[in-house]
Amino acid sequence: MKRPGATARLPLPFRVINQRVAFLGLFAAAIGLMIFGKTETPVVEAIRTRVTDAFIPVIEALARPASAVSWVSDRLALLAASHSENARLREENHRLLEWEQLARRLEAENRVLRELLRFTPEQTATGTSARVIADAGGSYARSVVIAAGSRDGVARGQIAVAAEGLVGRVGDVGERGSRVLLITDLNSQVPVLIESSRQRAILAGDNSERPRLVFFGAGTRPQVGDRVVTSGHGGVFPPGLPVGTILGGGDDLIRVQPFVDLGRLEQLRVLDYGIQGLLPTPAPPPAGGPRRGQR
Amino acid sequence: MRLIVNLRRAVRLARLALPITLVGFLVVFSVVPLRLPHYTAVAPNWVLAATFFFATRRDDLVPAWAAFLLGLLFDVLAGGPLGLSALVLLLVREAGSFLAEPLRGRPFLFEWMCFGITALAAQLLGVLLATALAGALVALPTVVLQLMLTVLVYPAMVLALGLIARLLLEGV
Repeated sequence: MKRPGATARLPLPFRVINQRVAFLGLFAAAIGLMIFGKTETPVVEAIRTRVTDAFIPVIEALARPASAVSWVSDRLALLAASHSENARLREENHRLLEWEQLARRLEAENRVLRELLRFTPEQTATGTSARVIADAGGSYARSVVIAAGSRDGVARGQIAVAAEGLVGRVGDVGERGSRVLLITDLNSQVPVLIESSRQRAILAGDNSERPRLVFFGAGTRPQVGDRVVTSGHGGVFPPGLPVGTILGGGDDLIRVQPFVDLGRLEQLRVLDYGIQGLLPTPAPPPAGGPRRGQR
Repeated sequence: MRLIVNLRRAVRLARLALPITLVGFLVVFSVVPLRLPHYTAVAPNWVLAATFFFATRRDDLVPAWAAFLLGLLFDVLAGGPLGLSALVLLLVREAGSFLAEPLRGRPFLFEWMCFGITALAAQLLGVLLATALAGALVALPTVVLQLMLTVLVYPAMVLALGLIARLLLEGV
């Protein structure tokens, strides 16, 4: 490729000085932006959401062929494994029917006990379903953009779940799209419980596929395969949402395998539990259905 | 006649804007959900590779401000810390521009090695800044895998972008 004289209007020394000044200016601007961006001012959020909103049609158009290829490969894989999958599903169905009987019995027992205690049910979650349209990899962040924004009732702080469990929390909200911060993101910290031992801990993302379990209290060490659910402490996530299972790790390093395959998200459900984070929680309504009725 | 002149000028401008357009396309492509198993965690940095490629060949067509703005766009779309990719791409563009002369006429292996060192330095800087900004350590195996994949895809990038550049940038 031959270099033209298109940008060589200035004499060489001036051009070099010009380039150096421009480079230093941009370098300083990048540093300034990092510091300014860290403050999470409404201006930064507004710019992010507007630019993301503007690019949504472009990303959607590019994602269409990728989605089609993914759909075809998934169907082919399903077809190839249909025989063994059918056998597995029959067995699972049998097991689930037994669980259903147990759940019905416990539900009836719960209803009677709640009436005896005059128990006030927790707030029912309302929600919106949305398609994942952008999914950035890399080492700096783990988030997805969904095709639902403020016009669809999505608001900052709402909880994103998939069929298998917790996905993350809504961050920036635009008119047509919103960003969901995944539980694997470096900035994500979710208060959780080990379901079997009721031991509290914090699930901290580090941009890897498997977040770490930190600040678990003294006592029994979590066992490989233990289920991890949200604890509800801190008032950001509701209690009891399935998160993942304990994996092995080093002496001080325990990792959790999320139930949801966060690298292959297609549809999400954004739930509003009426949780206000560290702000005072609004009074619960006088009546309500099951806590996760909308899922 | 005037129409033809204007048309020629527009075509020339479009060809001159090709590197920025291609890197811009890769910025958007980087956030497209491909839904490949484990891809998201270790996705190669296509944008970094393309910026280095054009900076070593035609740095006049990827000026510093363009690298900065493309990095900023990547930060916004990917949801990363604002300014981080802008800074990294700006430095990669400068490194590529600096290496353009020493790389001329040298075997591709030498260029590949230079890209590997640049990508390593860029990744280290990015991870250090991301760690400092979040106050938490980024998982290193993920970073190493991403770096390895970025370096591995570079020859393919050179092949594809080289072909496009030969077809459309020759004589511009």
